[in-house]
Amino acid sequence: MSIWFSIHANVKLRPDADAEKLAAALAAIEELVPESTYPDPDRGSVTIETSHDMSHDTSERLAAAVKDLARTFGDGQAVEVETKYEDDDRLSFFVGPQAAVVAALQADAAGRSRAIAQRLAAELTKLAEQPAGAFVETEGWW
Amino acid sequence: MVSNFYLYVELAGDAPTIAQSVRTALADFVYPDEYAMALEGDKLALEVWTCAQVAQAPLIAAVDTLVQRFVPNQVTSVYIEDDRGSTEQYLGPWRDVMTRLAHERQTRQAALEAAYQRQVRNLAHAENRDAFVITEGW
Repeated sequence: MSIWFSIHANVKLRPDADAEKLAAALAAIEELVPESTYPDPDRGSVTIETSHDMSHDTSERLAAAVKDLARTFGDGQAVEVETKYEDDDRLSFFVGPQAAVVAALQADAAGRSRAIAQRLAAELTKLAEQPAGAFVETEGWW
Repeated sequence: MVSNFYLYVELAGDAPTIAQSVRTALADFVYPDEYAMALEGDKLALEVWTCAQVAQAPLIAAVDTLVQRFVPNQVTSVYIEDDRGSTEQYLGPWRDVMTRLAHERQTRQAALEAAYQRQVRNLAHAENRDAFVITEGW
């Protein structure tokens, strides 16, 4: 039985990453899901991106392969991995050295907090244009 | 146009009257097998789902009109899911909606803070700052 699975991650590579081993790791990912790896030699990074129907086993192996890629070839920064399974909400998680991941989480939480405040401010601005006794509707809180 | 659409709202009042109004209001937008109504306590829950290309704005406007007609004096939440994600819209008297928004902000900030603290606590078990770790999804 197949499920729809989406994953996105951008891994910045260590300058001394073993090119042959990296090529083998990417080939293994391509074997799992073709056309899912996008090396960018100019930026020294690899993007893993795909949205497909696949078996649950394949989706788990793909996610594990992305984590291994970050662990083995990453430059020591936290890597954000975004996944989505069919009707589930999109999830974001971080992999990398503990200190880098804590810093990335802190920045991410701050960004989410700002987004909540901005969303509320946008709704309040719109509502402020309405008379205080009116029946009103918000735009919607994503 | 979106190709996956789901909506949930609860309407209050005389159930047969609401049901007839819903059927009339939605007739131009979805087929009868693409929505359902069920009594939830003293409210009539309406669910709409469709995989057809649907013009979302007029459909939501039709539902909003139903809310204004049947639940004019309290805040009603309309939950919508589509290709882009999920959203919750609030309808009702101005002052009550303002209060609800402020409450929602507090709830979301508190949930975010709790999730963040849980993640950081989980990561604190790592052997050292360089240990390779994976957070929970959030």
